Amino acid sequence: MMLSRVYPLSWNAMVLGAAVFAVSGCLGNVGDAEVDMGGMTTPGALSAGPAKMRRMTRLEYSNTIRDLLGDTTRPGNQLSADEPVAGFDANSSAPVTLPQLQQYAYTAETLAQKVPATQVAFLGCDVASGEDSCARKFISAFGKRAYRRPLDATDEKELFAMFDQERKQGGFESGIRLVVQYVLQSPFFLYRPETGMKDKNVLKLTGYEVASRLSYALWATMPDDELLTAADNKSLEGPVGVAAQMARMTASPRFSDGLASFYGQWLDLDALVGRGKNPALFPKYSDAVAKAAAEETLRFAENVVRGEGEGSLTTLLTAPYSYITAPLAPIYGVTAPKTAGAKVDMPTNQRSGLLTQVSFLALQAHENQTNPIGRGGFVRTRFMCRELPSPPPDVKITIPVPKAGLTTRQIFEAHRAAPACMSCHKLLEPVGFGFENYDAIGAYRTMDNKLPVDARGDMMGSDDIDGPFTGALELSKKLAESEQVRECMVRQWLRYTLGRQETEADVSSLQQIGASFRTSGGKIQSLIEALAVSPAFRYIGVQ
Amino acid sequence: MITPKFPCSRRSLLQGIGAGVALSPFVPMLEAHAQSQAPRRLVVIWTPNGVATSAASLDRWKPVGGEWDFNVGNPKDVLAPLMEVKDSLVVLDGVTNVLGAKIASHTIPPTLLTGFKLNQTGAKNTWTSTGPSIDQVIAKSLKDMGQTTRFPSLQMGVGAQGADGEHGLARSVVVFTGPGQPIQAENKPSVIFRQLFADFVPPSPTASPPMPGVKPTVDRRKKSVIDQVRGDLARLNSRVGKDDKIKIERHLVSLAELEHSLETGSSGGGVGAQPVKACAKPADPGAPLTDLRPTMTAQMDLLTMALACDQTRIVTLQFLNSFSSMRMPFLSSAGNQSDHHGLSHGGAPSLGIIEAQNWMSGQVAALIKKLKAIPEGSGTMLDNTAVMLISEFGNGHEHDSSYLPVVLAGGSAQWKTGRVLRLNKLPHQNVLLSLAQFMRLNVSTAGDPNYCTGPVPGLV
Repeated sequence: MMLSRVYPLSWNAMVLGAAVFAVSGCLGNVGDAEVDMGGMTTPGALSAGPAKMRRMTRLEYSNTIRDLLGDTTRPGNQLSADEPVAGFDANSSAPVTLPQLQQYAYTAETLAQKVPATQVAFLGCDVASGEDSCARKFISAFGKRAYRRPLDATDEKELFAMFDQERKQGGFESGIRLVVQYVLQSPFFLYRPETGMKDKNVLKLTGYEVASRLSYALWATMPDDELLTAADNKSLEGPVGVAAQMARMTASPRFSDGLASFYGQWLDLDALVGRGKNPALFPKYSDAVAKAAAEETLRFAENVVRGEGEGSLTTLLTAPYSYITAPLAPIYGVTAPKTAGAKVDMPTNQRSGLLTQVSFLALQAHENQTNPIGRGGFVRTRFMCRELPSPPPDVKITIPVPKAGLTTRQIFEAHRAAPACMSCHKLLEPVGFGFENYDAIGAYRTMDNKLPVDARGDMMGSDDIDGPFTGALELSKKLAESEQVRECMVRQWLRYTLGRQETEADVSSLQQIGASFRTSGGKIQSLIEALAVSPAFRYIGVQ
Repeated sequence: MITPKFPCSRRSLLQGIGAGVALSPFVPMLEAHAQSQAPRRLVVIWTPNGVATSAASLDRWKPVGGEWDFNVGNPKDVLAPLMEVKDSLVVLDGVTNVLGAKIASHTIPPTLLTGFKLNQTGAKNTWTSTGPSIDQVIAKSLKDMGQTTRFPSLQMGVGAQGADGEHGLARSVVVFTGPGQPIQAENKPSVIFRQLFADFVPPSPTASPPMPGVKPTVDRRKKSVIDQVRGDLARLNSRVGKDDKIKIERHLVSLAELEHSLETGSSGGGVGAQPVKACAKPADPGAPLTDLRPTMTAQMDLLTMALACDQTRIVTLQFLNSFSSMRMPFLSSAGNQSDHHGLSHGGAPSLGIIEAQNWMSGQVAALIKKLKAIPEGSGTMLDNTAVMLISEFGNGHEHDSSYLPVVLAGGSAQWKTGRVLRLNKLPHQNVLLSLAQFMRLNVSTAGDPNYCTGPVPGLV
């Protein structure tokens, strides 16, 4: 079917989760069918995907409370786990439950009791200057920051009425505390509704809605005053103003929070900590190593995105150095840097970027052996944006058990030999085998089970990097040169930023962002900047 | 429609009447009346990653022996600790999850209590349910029938990790109010205590019951907040698309539940609630507990009192999650070799997962004893409480849910207990139906009606 066609710039085949498998026998459609884009878009017409109202994630809630109230107790950690959509925490579909409302209520009540409800610095006015006017002023300013938009007349009227009613019972201070207690439970605070303004066949986001999208994507928190001011000035309604804010925001230390959120979720770093290894086989491994490995990857990614090695995707995938702390030194076989987290050159010809770091190698490994299936699958889904179907129903899935006299590769090769498995698994293990020079904790090895490691691999079913390779360094180089991987990065950032799977309406945006990304020489910051000014970011499709 | 044939089982009658008393023709009728007054309750306990059972000779879960005369085959088998409360059990040998068997992976938990197929859309295997779980179906029906307690249901966890890693929500949640509408388990006993008991005053035996229709005073600020949320949700609703309207509708339902729990807050279980005499405010378990063992004990104690005080009649308790990376270091030998998921892949037989599940059976046995020690009417609370212990796999090593391990316990007000039922590929929807019928729902199917063929035969 569509598989035999060649798309050098393959948005067509990749759209909608690329539910398409280029190898016969593994033709399972995952999710939606392929859409052929030829002639679907009207030239010049804007198109953008749908937007669902998102509820703050745990991370966003903690950060927002920090910035709104100055409270650093990270109350989001007490909330229920987030709902992932398209691989990233989105909270866009699952509704709130009674336990969650109880959690929100408890947090709001606790925080409202802690605020300095009569202080000028908090209220923005002196109560002595007049209770009513001061309360109105506070409601207007606090409400705008909490709702991330100016309050409308109804908001102001009802919040003041709530204050006033409570003041009659418990005095001014109690009235202010009740406003705080309410606002933290208001749907306008917990959700990010995007209603936009009608603009031909799409809705154009308001400047405030753009400010929220920018802030939660880049800083994982509420907009700061400057963003809200930019929205007041309507400068976020056009690409120039958005680009200006982008430049400011990516230069800010707060950009670290957004980068950590993206890379942590994209690379599953949260899943690493707490997943142990067999202590008899891997005495060097511990929770401290796992934690250090997750932090290493975030530090590495941040350094690169902020400019190290041209800030490029190629550097992310091929850098022969990293930024490590002491617990990782024995695993990499290097001396720990004097300053924790400083740049360290890795042993020659052993490491190249993200896919040779302990975080990926240890996560995609069992506790007693490597996991070529997981490693191959991770490369395919996360770096190449190809989803894989579930195994057929009649297949018994077992993890092969290590055997004396056989390498992991040999055991896994025998395991997948059944024809029913082979059709899909030839997309997995032949990629994963390329990582056999790294054991289940990511340490470099040339011997496996007293036999020489065979790290020859083969890539099949890709757009542009099919063919044999040897070892992770060569694979990483292939991936860094692949247009498919570049396009996949664009898609991953779009999924993260918008909290949803891309749709056919996003194709023109994806192409636009992809072109900027390519022209920049694969700079991640250029990707993000192009994303922020794209129609997908600033418009929503009408349902 | 299938109604329970025996609202009051032979066994519960005998228990209620006591040994040696001759049966007069009138006593059973009186007894039946008394029993029908007692509230029915449901406790569902999910333990993940399978129990090392299979068709093979390596089975370490299935009891051996006859229907009324069964035992474990080996003193270290998974169900061994439950043999102490054997008289209260109905072991179901031969249940199958047809929907799960077609998936064969750690994404299947949403099929377990729903009996509906998975919604497999979304990347990164973020699969969810396509229907409500039976506990939520029952909770809604009880509410519709006017049998309201302070909380419609309670979701407890012990080491339940929520969304984590690649499989996201799917492998971690079994309770759903509707398609794609999960309720996650609360792991912290301190939070459960706060929500259920912080402002709870146990009913005094001497005080007169609250007047019907008179609601206790709710904190005016909380009331004010709820009213305003309701108003703002309505305003928001007029501005959003249809997908968001669904979320707002559910937000309103949850809000009403919150309001109801406040209105019935300190006065006991709510309108029509029937706390048993043993109802007492439990101790505050305090700061979060890091060890699984005291956490389990604290949750079981809170669970027991939540039922005794009629705060709710429906509880789910989730232990860990499918694919869990939690360890049980306190187990003696094979069970501390790996994390819980790793134990399930520990070879055949998986001694580690057998030891881990044996420990879990012990926790459930302790709960059964607790419920049995609380008098209610002429019997015990256990008679009116259906307990189900279930895993999403039989043989976890092979991700095989074609054989589902199910143990029912209690419920002798309707069920004939003290047995093992040998069944042949009974759809697990049938078990869900039997739970619904025990809870007096007037229903003849549960889960996906294409699979449900009727209640568990011979149970009542």
